[in-house]
Amino acid sequence: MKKGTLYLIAILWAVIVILPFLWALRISLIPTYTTFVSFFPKSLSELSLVNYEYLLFKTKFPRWMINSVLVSGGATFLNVLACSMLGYVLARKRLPGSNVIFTLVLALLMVPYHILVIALYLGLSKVKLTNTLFGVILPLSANPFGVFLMRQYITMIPREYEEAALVDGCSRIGALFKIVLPQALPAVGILTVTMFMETWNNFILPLVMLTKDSMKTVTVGIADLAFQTLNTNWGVLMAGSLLGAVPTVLVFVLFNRYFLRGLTLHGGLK
Amino acid sequence: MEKRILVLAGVLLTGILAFGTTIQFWTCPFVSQPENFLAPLVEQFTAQTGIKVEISVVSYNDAVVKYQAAIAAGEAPDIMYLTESRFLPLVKFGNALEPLDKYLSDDLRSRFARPDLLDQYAATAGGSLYVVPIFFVTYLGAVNVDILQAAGVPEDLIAKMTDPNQTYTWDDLLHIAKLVTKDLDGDGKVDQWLYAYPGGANWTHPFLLWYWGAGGSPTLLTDEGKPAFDTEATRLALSFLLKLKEEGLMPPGVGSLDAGDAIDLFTAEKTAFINNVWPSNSLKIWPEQFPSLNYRLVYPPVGPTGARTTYFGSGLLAIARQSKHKDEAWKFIEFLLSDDAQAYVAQSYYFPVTGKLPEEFANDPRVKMYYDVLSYAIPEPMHPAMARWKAIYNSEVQAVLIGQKTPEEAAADMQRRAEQALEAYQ
Amino acid sequence: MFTISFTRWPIIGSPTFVGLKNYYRLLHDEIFLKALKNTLWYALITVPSITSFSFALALSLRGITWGREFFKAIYVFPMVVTLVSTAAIWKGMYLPFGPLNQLLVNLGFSPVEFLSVGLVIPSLCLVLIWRDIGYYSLFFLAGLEEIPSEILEAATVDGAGAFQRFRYIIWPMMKPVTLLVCILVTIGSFMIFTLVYVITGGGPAYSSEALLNYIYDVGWREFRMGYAAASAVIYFFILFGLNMFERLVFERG
Repeated sequence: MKKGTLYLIAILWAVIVILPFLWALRISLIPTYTTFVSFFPKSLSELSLVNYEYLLFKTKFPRWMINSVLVSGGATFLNVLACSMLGYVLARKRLPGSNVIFTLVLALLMVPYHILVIALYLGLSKVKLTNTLFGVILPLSANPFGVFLMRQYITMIPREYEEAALVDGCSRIGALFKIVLPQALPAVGILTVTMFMETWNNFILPLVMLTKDSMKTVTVGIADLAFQTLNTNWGVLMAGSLLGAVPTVLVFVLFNRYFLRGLTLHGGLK
Repeated sequence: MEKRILVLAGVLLTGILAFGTTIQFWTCPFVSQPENFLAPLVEQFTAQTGIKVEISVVSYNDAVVKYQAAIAAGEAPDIMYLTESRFLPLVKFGNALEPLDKYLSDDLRSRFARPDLLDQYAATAGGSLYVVPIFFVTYLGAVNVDILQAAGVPEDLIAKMTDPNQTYTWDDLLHIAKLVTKDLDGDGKVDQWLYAYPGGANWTHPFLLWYWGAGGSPTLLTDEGKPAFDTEATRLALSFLLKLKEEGLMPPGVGSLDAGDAIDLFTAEKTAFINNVWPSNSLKIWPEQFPSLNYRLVYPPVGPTGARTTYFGSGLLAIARQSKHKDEAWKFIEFLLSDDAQAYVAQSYYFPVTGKLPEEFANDPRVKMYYDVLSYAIPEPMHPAMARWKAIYNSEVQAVLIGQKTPEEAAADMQRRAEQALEAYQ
Repeated sequence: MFTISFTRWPIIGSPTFVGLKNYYRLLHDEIFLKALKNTLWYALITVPSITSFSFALALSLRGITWGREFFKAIYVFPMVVTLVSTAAIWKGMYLPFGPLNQLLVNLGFSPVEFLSVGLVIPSLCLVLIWRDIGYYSLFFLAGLEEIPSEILEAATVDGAGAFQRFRYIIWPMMKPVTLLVCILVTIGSFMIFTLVYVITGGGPAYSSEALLNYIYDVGWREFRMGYAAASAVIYFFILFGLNMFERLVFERG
């Protein structure tokens, strides 16, 4: 195909991807409840930041953002730790083939946690973790897919280096962190980005687990805005939706390089 | 004198005992940010009694989910905000609420504007009172005066809608609908209608307003205690809505319209009539947000069987059986029912169940209209299966609006499914 | 979950054993069957379209050198944005008088009821497609970049056309990635919960109700957790079976 056509396709899709966000931005910049507006503002004076002002100063939105960052950051960190350790063990021990493990991992991914969350809640309430951020972080901290990813990746790393280190008196844990992980950075990149996104998106768990207004995560907060009993305040809802997306976008931008490099190797998966 | 000292000592003693207790109060957002709205009341209460109140907000949509999880884990809040249709399952399935009869003094009971409702709450729950209301709300209709006048709707008809001593009918509405439905900008497409039924919403009242208006059973039950859906009232209500839809008098897409979107259509002057306007919308949000919207509140229309009704909602509070601070919790509820607190709550445009309205409201003729309908407004039906019935009737109304079923078929299906739903609870 | 599925359990009460009654009821539950059908439709529409479109997008990205990184970053954007936000934004896009209809009217078409019975499933699928294509195209692109360009050049020299190159060189090497994407999209389409929850709530008349939404509603709103668990068990086995089937197809084909 001609280069021009390829560029046309690429640009067209980029525009399609961006347009809904532009509309959301447009709505977030008008001061009333209505959605009956033309896409292009007639003049700049039509626009205003009241919705953002309202969100940032009149609601607990900033607090929700912090909570979400704590939850997602914490869960991501724990995931990187747990998944690399478990993945390392699985990679270095003689265990059933990757096919079996992969099937198991997929099976775990398919369980509808909308039901399991009640069992989780009852369990966590016994150890007094309900209504704490840690109660949300803990159940999310060892994602089966992450374990599988790390295992796959570590299997590809030659054993020689760590064996040499082990001979030199380095512990297994030390070998993992000093030798294996630095070589597995692309996988860690993928893990960080996907886990951050997944925990940020998780809805049911924080919904059930956290009640205090100051404890809510941003996903739950946005859903609350969307389901106001009074008129839906579209401006505030859209402003919240856009602001709520900023941290995940940031994480992606930061880890973009590792993420994409990791995907290249990830492509050879299975 | 001695008596007084005793009372004083008693008050002091309970004050000291109660000091430092914190009660948990989970409320739904009946105003945006209820925790801020209620803060002055809580402060006053804490100053009087030494009992602290911690308020958490749970959305209407997910309140039931959160209550269930908390109750199952033994972490139920002391006070829960509920609605008529929501408290019964908590009593019926988990015996999770505390009977309040022993707390409610005769004096307090006599101060309620509609004490009969208290009996009704008790009767549906097997004799004990588990909830008390702290405010109520009724629904009125509203019309867009500019649209009506421009469409040539006779002035006396508009007057009939706003006069408590006169009536207007569904046929009048149909007549007005034909006048106002128009292509304003001349592009060959209709862009102004009378009314948008929110067919996509899973709310309790939109269908019931029409069903009751056609003479439907207030409790949704027949005299024999069976669901009353395969009835003339259902068919009349559905036929009327279908007629509006089929004759192009409702905007396109009503089959999947959200309740909020339907209100948006009215405030954007696309529709000229709406039948579910609660006071905080009509008295506060609209004047603030849509200063150019020229609307007038109207009474509910009279249906084909001569019935005239509207919806009565209230904010109910219950105490959890698990609560360790039941007495303190009741004190707070009692406090919310005091005259001062009720007057304060009224500022949220939800009206007091005891005591008087603050002056600024009492003199407002629009508020008077909300009180006028009180005598015939019907409370939300109370039944353990209500959550399922609501989903059932809303989906059947939708099926009619999108042309999948005739009103007769939908009424029959509603009945069958409502009965099935009952079986699952027995 | 399996144990619960044999009981009747309102969460706030204690469970009672009812044997297979829940499963028996499910088979006669028209809403459950409808939700099951809808969910299969979601999978049936999204899996082939997302897989093929993202493959195609990756192929065109591969032909681009200047600005490739820029496009990649833009394409993953919808995936990075919080799902609830995406759902809220598309709820607005699909409003009867919303931007999509404004656009159609401005282009001279008549407005479309995106969320009507006939269109609601494709409309929701469209959101998923819009969201996922860019992300999965990165998977394909990563796979494509692993194919040594010498092989392709050699094939071109030998007179292989674009189709032949695709059929005999690119496709065999891309099969594992394609399978992975297929499986992930299948799981994603079964987990469409949030979009349905925010955009339609399952309506109109259950025509967009997904299985997961049904499970959630029955368990949490109607006080029937046992019944919900039984539906969840069926959900699990169908999804698992579907994935096994996909793997089988790819291993044979």
